[in-house]
Amino acid sequence: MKSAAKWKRYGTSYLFLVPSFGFIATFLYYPILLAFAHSFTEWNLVKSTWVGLANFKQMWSEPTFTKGAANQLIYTLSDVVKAVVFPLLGAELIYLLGGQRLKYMFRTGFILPMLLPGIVTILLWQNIYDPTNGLLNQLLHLLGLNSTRAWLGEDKTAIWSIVMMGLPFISGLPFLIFYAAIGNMNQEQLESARIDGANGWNVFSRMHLPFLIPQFKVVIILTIISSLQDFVKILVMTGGGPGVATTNPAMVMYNAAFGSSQYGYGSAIGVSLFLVILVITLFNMKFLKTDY
Amino acid sequence: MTTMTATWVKWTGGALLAILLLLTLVPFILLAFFSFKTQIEVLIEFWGMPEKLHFENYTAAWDVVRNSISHSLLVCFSTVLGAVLLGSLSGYVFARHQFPLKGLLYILLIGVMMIPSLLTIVPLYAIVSKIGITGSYWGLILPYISGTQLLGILLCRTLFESLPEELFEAARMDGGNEFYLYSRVALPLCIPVLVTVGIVTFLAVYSDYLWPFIVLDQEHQTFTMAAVSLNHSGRSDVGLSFVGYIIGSVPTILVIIFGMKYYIEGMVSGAVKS
Repeated sequence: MKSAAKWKRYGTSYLFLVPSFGFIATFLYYPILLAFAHSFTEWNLVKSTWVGLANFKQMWSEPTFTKGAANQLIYTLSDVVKAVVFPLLGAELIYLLGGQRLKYMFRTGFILPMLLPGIVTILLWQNIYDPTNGLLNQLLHLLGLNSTRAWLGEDKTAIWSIVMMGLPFISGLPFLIFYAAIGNMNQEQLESARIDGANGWNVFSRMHLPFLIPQFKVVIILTIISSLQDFVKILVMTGGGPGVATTNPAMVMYNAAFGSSQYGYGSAIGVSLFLVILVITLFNMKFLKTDY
Repeated sequence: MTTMTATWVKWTGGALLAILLLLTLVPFILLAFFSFKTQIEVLIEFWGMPEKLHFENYTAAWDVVRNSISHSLLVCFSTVLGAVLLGSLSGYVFARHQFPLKGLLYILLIGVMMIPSLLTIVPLYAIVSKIGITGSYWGLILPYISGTQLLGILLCRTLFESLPEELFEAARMDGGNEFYLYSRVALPLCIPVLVTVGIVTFLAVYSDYLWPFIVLDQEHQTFTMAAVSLNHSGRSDVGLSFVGYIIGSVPTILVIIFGMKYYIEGMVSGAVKS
């Protein structure tokens, strides 16, 4: 009798969890299973044929993908630099300033672009690069350098134009993380170091940088992971072109699935990217131990 | 001498900071500046001030983006409602109930947060089209709820665990059943947390471009889709498309200003689960 009452109570608990698990099972577990299963097939959503490892081999024999992987190196490296150097510079400079109100003003100013939906920022940058109406060419024109360059349309400039969008790269989560961490530093310790004759550079390199190591780890890991997944800006700005000049693996995945209905091949790329991210995550958990 | 260097450093730092801030704000300056210009003015006098403030850009753009904004808001509010209800319900169960396999089930739920959406996007489309909800808002709302409820579960569990058991015991004595405990005792107490979840969810859903673009047709388009098509056609009218972007950004701006404190908390706790 007592155990029946206990199981009735358990039943209520499980019942309350049914909605959450129902959603997760349908829209997360099931697609994860499908992704793995179909990465070994040719799949057009209706019918799928087992092809073994052919999709994974196709990736490395296809110039679109290998070029995309090479581009990914450029994107990821530059994303890390952009997420570490500039937000840190901004946060440090603000701390050099005197006056709480001035600090607050600058901090708010730098995060203001986060008010806009990401897509609007992307579209504005696309406009900046526009050959005729774009701010960049108009600025060059003002400086006497006549340019009609289609920055996003030419092989040589397209990928760097995408890399440079968002200049000066301060606005964003890394800035908030660094800014908060610097504010939490022991001010007395810093002050006494300064009284002992340490100059600004020494304080920065010997005290700030070591103190900020946990923040560096978090920012770098999060940036690498999001960089591997990020292709919306490529999709909107160039679609991966001209040719394959700006594509990356995630973009190739999108085009394979939704452009040419190769859903099996798309799944294989998705699975591969997932495995890379998993390795990075595990590496982080085991060796860097950032708490995120 | 050192104070002179210090002053000098401070001034150079300040000047550099001012330049960086100006660059950061370029998108806003562009938006504001061109939203009042006609296309002819853009082409002929790029740097010139608009002859007069052309508010007709605003009325014209409003007609273009109005529907898409209401579609986005519908999807956002439905998702927020689902995420908040499921998040608090499951968070409550994990915090206050004892049952077999609790630890495992919790990991099965929260572990999914580590799965990048990139892995599931292709098969998720297959599922959504098999259920037959492509081209409908359900195709967005249901998958969105599954993902966004997780932050709610995480935050609500932490909060509910910190509450004293007497609170629930008293309500149980009064004859309240479990659903009563959840809806009348627990739910009101977690409203600040739910506001955080709601804001993070709203902003993520409102800003998403990829999934609506994959699932929906033009007729049902969300604001982000409308913004991109404005841009494609808008090469011929920069002012009009910029006003479209401004109008469509109003909901996110309002939500962020209203919930700045909650938003930063939620973002940091989502990214850096300390």
